[in-house]
Amino acid sequence: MSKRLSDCRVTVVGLGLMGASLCMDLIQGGLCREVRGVARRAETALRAFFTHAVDQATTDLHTGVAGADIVVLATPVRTIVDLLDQVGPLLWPGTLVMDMGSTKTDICAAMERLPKGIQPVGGHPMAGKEQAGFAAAEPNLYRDATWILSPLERTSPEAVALAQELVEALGARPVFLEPQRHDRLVASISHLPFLLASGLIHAVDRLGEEDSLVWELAAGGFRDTSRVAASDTRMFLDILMTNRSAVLDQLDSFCGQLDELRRLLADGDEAALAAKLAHSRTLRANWRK
Amino acid sequence: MIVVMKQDASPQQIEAVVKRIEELGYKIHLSRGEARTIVGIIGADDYLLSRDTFEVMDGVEKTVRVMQPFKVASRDFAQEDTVIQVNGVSIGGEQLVVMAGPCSVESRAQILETAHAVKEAGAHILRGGAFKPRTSPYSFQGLGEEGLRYLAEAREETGLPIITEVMSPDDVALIGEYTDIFQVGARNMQNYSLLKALGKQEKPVFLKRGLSGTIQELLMSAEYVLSQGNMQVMVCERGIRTFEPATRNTFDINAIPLLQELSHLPVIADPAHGTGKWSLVGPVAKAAVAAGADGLMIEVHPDPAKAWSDGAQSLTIDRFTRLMDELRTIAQAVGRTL
Repeated sequence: MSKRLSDCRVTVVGLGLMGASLCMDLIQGGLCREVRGVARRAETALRAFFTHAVDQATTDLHTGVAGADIVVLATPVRTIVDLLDQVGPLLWPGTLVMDMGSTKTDICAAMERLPKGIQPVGGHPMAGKEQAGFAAAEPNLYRDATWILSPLERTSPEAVALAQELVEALGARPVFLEPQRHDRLVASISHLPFLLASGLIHAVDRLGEEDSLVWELAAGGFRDTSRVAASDTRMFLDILMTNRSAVLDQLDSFCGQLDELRRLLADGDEAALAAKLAHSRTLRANWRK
Repeated sequence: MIVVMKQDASPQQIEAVVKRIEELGYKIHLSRGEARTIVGIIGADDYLLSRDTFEVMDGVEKTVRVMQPFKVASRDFAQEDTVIQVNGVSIGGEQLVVMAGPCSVESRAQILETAHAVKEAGAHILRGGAFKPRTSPYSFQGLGEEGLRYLAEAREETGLPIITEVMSPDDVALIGEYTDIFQVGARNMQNYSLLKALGKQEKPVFLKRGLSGTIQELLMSAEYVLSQGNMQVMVCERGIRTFEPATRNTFDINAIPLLQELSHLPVIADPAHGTGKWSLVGPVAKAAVAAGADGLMIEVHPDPAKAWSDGAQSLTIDRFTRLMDELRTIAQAVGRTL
């Protein structure tokens, strides 16, 4: 009695960049039976409806998920946790519940509390843009992206297979990870850079208070290293607060690295500093391959 | 209520309707009907809205009141018929399910004898009341836990799953130790605390229509159980009160196809309570099967004249056996198996 994606009614809760892009892919690819979008505001629901990003749009969660085979939660992380607590009694047993939240530990813990029979698979597509909201959504956002999947022990193999089918149908590459491992890794390569970018901008701003020319001179190098600070604040606040311990660990580790570089510079140890800088250059080059 | 826009309604006109709905404090649902946009109004008291509010707006063709307050029970919610599995018996599928047994468990011997006999005749589930909702406090009230033990013993011996009535939320735990299916009697159809308690546990619930209960009230009662998370609910037509005194109740044959249309839940017929007379049980049972019932509940007693409750509507074992044969023919005629 396994469901295929093409037979499924899919409800996406949250029509921002992530949710709306998913809807567009599902509709344009004719990948499933019906796409329903749930938005917080009527204005977003209307836009999604008029642009045919969805078949149906609503501002009522219950109406949105009624009869859905797959529900995808595409709101900020802490909203996802709230939604998981509300949505359980509204769903038919066998419904697949996925999310697109950037941290997984808290979300998977909330998924454990879903009523028996509901099939949860945590998820995190490693794709996005700094711009947020429905206006930023576009098709093919997930093409060639890595999509982390974190099924729970209670999840049935059929549900996991359906989640994988959805991810692959969008052109993304599924990678299975336990929640804690995921959170530690993304703390390092996503959440830490965000904080660093923020810190950098504040530091430049400090100097700018004394000499405003600094902003005129800021060019490519500054642009690249500060780019992610333009990300949606609310989204990242949720991320930082729900992944606090892993982020603090990575921040401490980074501070350790920074202290080392500072020490070498302060001591004038050119040889050691050169070696360190050459090493990081090589590591980056290897990554870019 | 839903607002049906005209075929050529502009986005601005649709937005204006949406804005008005929001101003009034409701949520919206946008969908496409036959070449036109439909704006659904969602809120607990949307029946208070006046149709004029929207019908005067530009681009609106008409408003329609949606009369279905039940959600989970409705066919909109689940695309396929619910099929409930109980120890290998499927209720709501192609195979008709017959639940048979005495009105009350009177003694160990009585229930064991009846259990073996109905099993022999082809019944799938054994019924028997241990907690009885009698109209008079001086009538036999049931054997209580002792009755449950005898039912469990009958299940051991015959392999038939058991269904028995629960009258109070306080009894759910005890009865749950013995029964496979909880029966909610007609007089308890609107006992909301009982329904909620049954919704919180996992065994199937068999919900009888109230003596003067409407179809909508029956489905709203089902909704109480369903909305707590227990999806294993079946409904039962067992006759309703009318002005006709010739029969105990009037079996509402309309209910069978109507419930099938409105809801995905299995629909069972009880022609015993529905008529109150054993000679009418057979014909009405056949009518129910022909009308599309998913199963029957029939009272059977080894010696109805000596039954402690509802003897007049109980079939003897012989009559039940013969009825089962006749039902097979009817079932086949409507594409079901028995």
